[in-house]
Amino acid sequence: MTTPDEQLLERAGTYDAQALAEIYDRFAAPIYGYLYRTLGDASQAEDLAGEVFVKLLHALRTNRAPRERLEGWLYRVAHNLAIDLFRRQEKGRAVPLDEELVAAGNQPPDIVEDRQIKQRLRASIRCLTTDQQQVILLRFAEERPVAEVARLMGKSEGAIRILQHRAVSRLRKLLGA
Amino acid sequence: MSKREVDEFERALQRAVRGEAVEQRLAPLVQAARQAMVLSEPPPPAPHGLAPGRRRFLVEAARLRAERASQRQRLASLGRLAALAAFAIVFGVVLGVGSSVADSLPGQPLYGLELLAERVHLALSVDPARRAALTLTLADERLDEIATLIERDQAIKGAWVSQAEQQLQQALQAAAQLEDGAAVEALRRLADAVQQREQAMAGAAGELPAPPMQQLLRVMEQVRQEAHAGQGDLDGLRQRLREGVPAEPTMPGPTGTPQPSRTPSPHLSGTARTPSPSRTPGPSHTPERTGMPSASPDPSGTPAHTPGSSATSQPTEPPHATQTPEPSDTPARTPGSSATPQPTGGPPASRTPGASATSQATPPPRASQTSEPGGTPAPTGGPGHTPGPSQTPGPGGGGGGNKS
Repeated sequence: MTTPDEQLLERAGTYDAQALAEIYDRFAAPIYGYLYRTLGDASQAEDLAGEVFVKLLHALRTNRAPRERLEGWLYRVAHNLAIDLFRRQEKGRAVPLDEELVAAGNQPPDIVEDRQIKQRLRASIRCLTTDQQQVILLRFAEERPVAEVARLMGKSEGAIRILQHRAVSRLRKLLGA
Repeated sequence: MSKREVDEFERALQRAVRGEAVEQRLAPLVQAARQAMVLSEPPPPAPHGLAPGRRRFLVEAARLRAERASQRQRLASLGRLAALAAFAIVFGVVLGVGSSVADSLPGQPLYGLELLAERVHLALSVDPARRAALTLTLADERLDEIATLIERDQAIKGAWVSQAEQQLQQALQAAAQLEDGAAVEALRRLADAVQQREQAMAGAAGELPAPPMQQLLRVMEQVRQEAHAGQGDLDGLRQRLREGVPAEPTMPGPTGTPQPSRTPSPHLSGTARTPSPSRTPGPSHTPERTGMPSASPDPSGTPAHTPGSSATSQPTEPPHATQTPEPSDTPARTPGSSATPQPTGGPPASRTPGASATSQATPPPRASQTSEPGGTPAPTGGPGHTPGPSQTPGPGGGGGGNKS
């Protein structure tokens, strides 16, 4: 018996416009939100969200598209795209992060402080492993229950709890809390 | 980190979410998790909205869909083209190689393949009629190949001639093994085919064909005669084939006058595979059939008893010097026709073909006979006349005449 996701993917495999539109309409906004929380930049999140779905089209062409758990596959692609973007930014960054934040100091202090906190948090999260990053973002930034995180990441709930514990322990050290 | 710690942290998180107090030792971890929750605020709307991304996504999908369709069409076309090309190649190879093999001649690289293919074809032919027809075709093919080589002025090798001979013998055997009616018809076709080739090849080979060609022409004539004989006496042919005894040449050859090229030679008469006693009386056969020339005087001058063939054994007692036939008149040079009537009581003509052919012109070289056939001995004797022993007077009386 095929799941709705499998049926949708099967139709998408033939580049059925209706199925593809349905996929985009269902997942584009959550993916955009995830990318925004990961990147902290709406414009970049918007661009990468579009890129996630183009990646799906290419995967369908080369038969590397998921057969099931489409949502988890989209989140993983989105996360990898975000990591790639961070790496590119790190290579091209000439100005230290703190100075960059200070440069935006013509904004209200509370907003600047909030941005600084979030940027520091994101920078700390990027120091975690990929799975730990994803667990932190899905579990705390998106506030998803353990069971849903486990489904999206294709792991057991026990494994997610262990990942979560390790990720938070390390994040605490990174944040100096 | 134990499972208990993990579970306790999870419970502490849930309590923190509900606003309840957490254990002191877990507070720092819960605090770190709550810091991460800062990111959970709703994201701002996308600057350009998600519609442009949607449009871009669906346009790309349409492009890929068209590309896939085109790819499928190309693949289908390529598949058809490949199938066509494969068919053309296979057809060309089969046709080309098959044609080359079929047209190859002895001595050419593909000739072995042709023979192999023929053998396979023959082995697969179980129906006697088809087998007979095939052997006839193959025999004709061998003769055609040799005729082609002669036309090209190529030397004919003995091995090629042997192949042709073997094929002719097989054709004769296969024809004789058929039902009576079919056998007669097959023998007729064989005789006709051989006769046509014989005439063409005898002319093409020239007056002095090479020994292999002489042998082939001789075998062809023998097979033709056997085929002719078999049409009249099928059982006899079968019997002869079983016993390996050749037929008596009862029917005249198509060429009438025997060709010089058919002259038996000691080399050819010695071949075991193509025995032809009727054409090549060997020295070891003729004595019993012709008798010794001088041992049994024949007053009637039976030609069958005439010695002189170079192929027969030498007479132990030389004939009279003045009556010895000239070498040019000896039967050995002019093998007799099979149609020559044989004298009554004598051996069959086929057994002594050489003798019957020229016996009319050759005086019997009998010492006891007169020098002039049928004539009466002159009482006085001519200057060149030498009376035979019976005419000699007494031991002391007529010695002078003899000496003169």
